[in-house]
Amino acid sequence: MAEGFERLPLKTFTERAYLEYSMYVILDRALPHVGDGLKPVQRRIVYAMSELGLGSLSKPKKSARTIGDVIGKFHPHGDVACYEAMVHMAQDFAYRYPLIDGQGNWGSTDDPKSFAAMRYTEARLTAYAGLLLTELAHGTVEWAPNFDGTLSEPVLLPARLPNILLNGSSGIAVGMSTDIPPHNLREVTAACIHLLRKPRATVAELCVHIQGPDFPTGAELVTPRAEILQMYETGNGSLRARATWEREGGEIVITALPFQVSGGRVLEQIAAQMHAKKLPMVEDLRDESDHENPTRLVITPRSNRVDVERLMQHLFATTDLERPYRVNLNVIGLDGRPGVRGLPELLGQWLEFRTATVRRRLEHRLRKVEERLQVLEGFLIAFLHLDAVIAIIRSEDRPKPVLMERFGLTDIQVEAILELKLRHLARLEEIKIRTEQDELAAERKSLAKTLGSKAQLNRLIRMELLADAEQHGDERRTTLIEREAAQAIDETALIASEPVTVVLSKRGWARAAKGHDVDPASLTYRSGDGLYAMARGRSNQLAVFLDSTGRTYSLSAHLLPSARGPGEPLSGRLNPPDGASFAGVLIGEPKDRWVLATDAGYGFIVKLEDLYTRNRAGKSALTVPKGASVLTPVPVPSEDDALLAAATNRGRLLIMPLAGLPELARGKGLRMLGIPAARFKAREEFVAAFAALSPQARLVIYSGQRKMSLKPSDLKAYRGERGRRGALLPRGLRNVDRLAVE
Amino acid sequence: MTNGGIPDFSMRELGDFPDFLPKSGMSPFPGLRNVPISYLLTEIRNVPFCQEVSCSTTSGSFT
Repeated sequence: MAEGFERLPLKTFTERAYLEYSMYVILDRALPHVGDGLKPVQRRIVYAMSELGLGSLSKPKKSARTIGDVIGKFHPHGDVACYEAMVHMAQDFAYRYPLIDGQGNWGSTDDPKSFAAMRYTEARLTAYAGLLLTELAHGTVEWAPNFDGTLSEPVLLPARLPNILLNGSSGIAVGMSTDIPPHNLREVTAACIHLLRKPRATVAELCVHIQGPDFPTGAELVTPRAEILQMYETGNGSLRARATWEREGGEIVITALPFQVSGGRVLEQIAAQMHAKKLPMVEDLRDESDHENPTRLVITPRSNRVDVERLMQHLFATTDLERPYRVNLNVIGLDGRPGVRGLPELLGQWLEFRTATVRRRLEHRLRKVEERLQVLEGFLIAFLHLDAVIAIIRSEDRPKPVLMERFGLTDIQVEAILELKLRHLARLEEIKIRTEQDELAAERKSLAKTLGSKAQLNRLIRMELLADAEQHGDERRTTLIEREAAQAIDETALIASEPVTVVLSKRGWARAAKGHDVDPASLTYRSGDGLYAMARGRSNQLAVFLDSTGRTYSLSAHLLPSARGPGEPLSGRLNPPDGASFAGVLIGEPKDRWVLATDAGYGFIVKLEDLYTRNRAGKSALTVPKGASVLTPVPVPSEDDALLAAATNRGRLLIMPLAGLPELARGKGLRMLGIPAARFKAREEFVAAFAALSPQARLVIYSGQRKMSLKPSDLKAYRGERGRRGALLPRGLRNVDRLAVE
Repeated sequence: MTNGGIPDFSMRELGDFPDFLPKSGMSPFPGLRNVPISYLLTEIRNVPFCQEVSCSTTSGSFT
């Protein structure tokens, strides 16, 4: 094998490559650090802007200059992705405390990606970003070489406030992701101060200060407080934010949208429902947002009788006017490892970071003070012997060692004397030097005292937190109101309840005629087709169709075609098994009871709602014995002592109490009328018709051209227990076609 | 009378100057000629924030 090549099994190589890539993405791209709350690209943008002199008081510069510096000096990645990260930090609807003050088109809530290209926009840092940068030059952070080793960049920014919670973050790494909601500066600072005093503070104690997340776009957080506390406890959970609205005259005005929700998208969602006729109570929809009112969506109800509260509940449940947010407080901790942390640990780690930063800043200042004191001491000696010092400098070739020896000065002191500008000779005044010495000595004492006492250090941190909160804090924007879950309006409740007659033809075509006084037989049918069954109900009910295999199917009555035409074949909307035909239609209230039966003489009572199904292939309800057919179902009368009449094609009629039949959701049922098995098997005798009747009703028997009406008293002759053979009808009426109830 | 500003010299460079600033030719202090360096230093030491030095004669007696 050639030299310089390494041989590796593919498994090892891919495993290693993927692991390295994963670690890189987790640690160096997608997750923020607990210290400054920034991802590497954000940190580099902020640092590069500070290097370009783009402070909050300077004149803004083209974004392209910043991006050029960022990708050219520190972040060797795509310019577009980098600019998008920069834009995100400038959007006041995306960042609770924007780090960048942008001029030009930086996108809008409707379309956050509609910002102008970086050659058009200009930017500088905000005053808030100063909190991340002011201590950078004070020896507070580690520095690392950039990607090509020509420059150095800060490993972290010395954040004076917990930016990690203030602006939040979201990112997807490999095998893990992060979702940190933004918070209010004053609340978080107050919690930090509490934690500083009481390092073992619980979530409940911290949440006395932190009410919950605070989104830049306002709106309402409707998650119960217990859930918010639980989320802060575990670092994991979900939140729900809801738009705020008010009534202006008869109109509904939406004044704030949940975080990351586009007004345009919400309007589209509502308009789609209006188009689908699911919002009959809304007449008009307008977007009146402008500079003064960034969010102003107006919904006009159809009339002042519309229940506006109910309508808004429906919109909250069905559109982005309410949306959930995932929370996963996953950050890179002080140990350099990613992890999901609860609020106390997260703030605790940040305070640890802050304490270390302040300590480093003080130590750095102490070093500077000591160096200066040493120099001042030298100046004082030089001042007292100025003529001699000048003489030595003018006469000696190498005055430095002579000065050191003659006056007992140190290297640093002599260097400072030699570097002193001539025009500043007048400053070599004893009083001035002594004043500065006194001031610095006092500062040194104070620094040493602070560094030597944990309480003093904590006090300093607390004072600085308070000062920053005073300067940068603002009111909470998102209100916290516990509200019950929004309920969508049931679709059927939106449909007008009108009487309809559902008509099923012999060939399985269905239609719905308006009204109950329609004669289905008089409707027009396609040639060779005719009325098979009908049922009277209301337009907001479900019509149930029964097929010859005993399966049922349901369709909304208002969606059935009008009876002015021939209707539509049910096979177009439903998928019955091959060879099946439709054998009946049922409609009514879900709790209504019906009798399902086969001509083998078996039947049972079923609640209509047990027959409902969304499945196009229906669901099995009635078990049909071999050789038997399904009979048209009949509704059960309301009386408790209702009767059931069943008649065979050979003229046997049995009247029995309906209560004898079982109530089932599905099955074969029990024997209603006894037919000898052999006779049924040969199809010599079977149940021709059955009817359910109230005890006072008359039963009419149709046989060919003849008919006979039986009064309740006449029916006694045919009464019997369920499952009996029944009594023979008079001659001439034995060939029963159908039974009717009058 | 001559006068001249004081460039940004440091104490270290004091050793490079002549005792007497030249009458003609290059002077390290533009505008100041024919002046002893000691005079210059005295002036600088006496005047806080000294930026310019002036003298009224070229014969060796100074005011």
